Amino acid sequence: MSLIEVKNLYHDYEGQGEYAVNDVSFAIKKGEIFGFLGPSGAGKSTVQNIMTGLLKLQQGQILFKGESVTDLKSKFFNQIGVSFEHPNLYSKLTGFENLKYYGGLFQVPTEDPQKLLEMVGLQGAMHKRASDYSKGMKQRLVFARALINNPEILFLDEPTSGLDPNLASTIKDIIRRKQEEGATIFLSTHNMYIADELCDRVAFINEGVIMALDTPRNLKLQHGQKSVQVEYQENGHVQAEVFSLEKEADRIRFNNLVNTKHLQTVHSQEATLEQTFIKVTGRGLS
Amino acid sequence: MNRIATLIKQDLLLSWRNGLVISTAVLLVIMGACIYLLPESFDVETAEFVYDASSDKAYETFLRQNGLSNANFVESEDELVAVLNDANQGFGVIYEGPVDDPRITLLTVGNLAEENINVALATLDYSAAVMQGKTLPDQYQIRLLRPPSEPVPVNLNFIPIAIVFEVVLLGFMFGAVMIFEEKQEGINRALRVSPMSTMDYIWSKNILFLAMGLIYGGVLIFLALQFRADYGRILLLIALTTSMMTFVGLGIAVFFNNISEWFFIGVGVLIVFNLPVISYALPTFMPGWITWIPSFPILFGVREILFPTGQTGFYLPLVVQLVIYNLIAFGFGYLAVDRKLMKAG
Repeated sequence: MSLIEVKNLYHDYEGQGEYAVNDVSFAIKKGEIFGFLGPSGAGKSTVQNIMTGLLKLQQGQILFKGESVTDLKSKFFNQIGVSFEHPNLYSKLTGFENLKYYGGLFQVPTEDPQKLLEMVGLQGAMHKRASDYSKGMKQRLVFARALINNPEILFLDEPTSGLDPNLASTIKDIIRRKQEEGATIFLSTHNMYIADELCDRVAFINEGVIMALDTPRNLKLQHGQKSVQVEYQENGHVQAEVFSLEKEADRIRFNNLVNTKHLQTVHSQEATLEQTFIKVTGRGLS
Repeated sequence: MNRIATLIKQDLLLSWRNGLVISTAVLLVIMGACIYLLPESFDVETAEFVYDASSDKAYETFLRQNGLSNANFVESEDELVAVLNDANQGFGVIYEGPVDDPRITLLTVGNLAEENINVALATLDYSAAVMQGKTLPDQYQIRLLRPPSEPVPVNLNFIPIAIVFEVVLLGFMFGAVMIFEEKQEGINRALRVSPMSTMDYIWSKNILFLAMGLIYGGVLIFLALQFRADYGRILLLIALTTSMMTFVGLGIAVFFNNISEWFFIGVGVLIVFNLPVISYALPTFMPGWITWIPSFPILFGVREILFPTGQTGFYLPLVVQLVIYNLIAFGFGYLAVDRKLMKAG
């Protein structure tokens, strides 16, 4: 059974018939990491904002465990965690206080703020005011705040934005651990690597419309080339050739090359998620 | 309740770190200092001198019999002018001619009120008549409808203003300051995806400012009157005023993004709420419209409770009026905060 279902969602900011989100439907299974991949302005934040109640539901349905989220109100908010792309914190409160007071708003058991701060590597700065945090520290604090109520579903908007590779890796590990603990994760991003690495399924959204939805592997296989690029040494020069794995003649030539030449590199040519996105939507992710 | 308690603690900490608590405490210290540094009354000395130019000095004799001393009499008109010129404020009398047909001249220096000059002229008429042996009929009499009240000492006269307008400022302005800070930090988006309700948000701020208003007002009244005040009645008025102004302040602030945008509207509202001070300082200025400003009955109600003049029956209608104002202000504040802050895209 799906944990959350979005059905025929539309959103028109100006009320002029120009839809920022146009007939979007998908379902997320419990324990799944679902990626929403699209460039800026594609509609992914709009969808997330409608799902979390930050934007009014104009048309369509959002069901959480089969019930409309508009009817659930505080029951729903007790079970979700939201991490924002742009850090929004009480700058005059310390990291610890930001978590402690936010945790006080929930009617479900909450995590120890200190433990969360340690988890995201902010234990040394827990008693510093948020105004003294760097952008990356604020980003991690916002991420930690999203975990304070042990949410069943986590909405993460660009959770590794502005983080160095080490910290981004820490955040990704936490996301995986939360999944192992049973949490469901809705991840909005334009970062194809994090989506490819973390998501069980991804949806490509462009101009408010879902263009494709599948596992990253399937999407890459469907839209990539089944070919191999080979570099080899010949007459003192490096030569490169691409062989299609679907053409008999190419397969024979490739085997021949493997047996007779000194190969330097062999690369399979399946598409990256970004290439797949470009192919499907006709535009890039940045 | 747990959520409201959490928000109150958080808002208290933010108020402290934003300097709102300190500024209220500093204001309280200044007001407290005024109580002890200002005199209880401003005595402006009015000099009174008499030159009796008559041959028999009948007027001087009459005045001496009625309590005036040597210091009040001079020996010539030049001396009278000289002593009056030395005084900041005062009047002199030149009495000439016989008792049955005297000529009396009044000299004045300084800013004597017209009422005082008229009183002096009436006194001169009266004394001349008495000296002529005339018996004046009792045309006038005074009946006190209630016992005369004690005059309010100068150093305490400002207390009702200090209470009402600080409380108005506290609820109206501090709430706005906190909203602008939250808007600037984008914190409302995080609050909106939590189980916190609009009601929690409004009441946490209201209860905090209410507590600050009660402490401020209570301490100031204690400094002024110690145990001689009716704390129960006065604190109820303070609570209702703070509450009303917090609702109004929150309701208005949500329409603006920062204090610069809010400034003209916010200060305009504060000026309107402060207008009754004019009537308080100049009781003759009391046009009908000024009495419709909600702070008007509060200001005079607070004064009547602190410095009773014997008025009765004003308190309950005032409380009912304030409860109605609170209901209206709450409705406005709730709708504005809910629509503009908690549900805006």
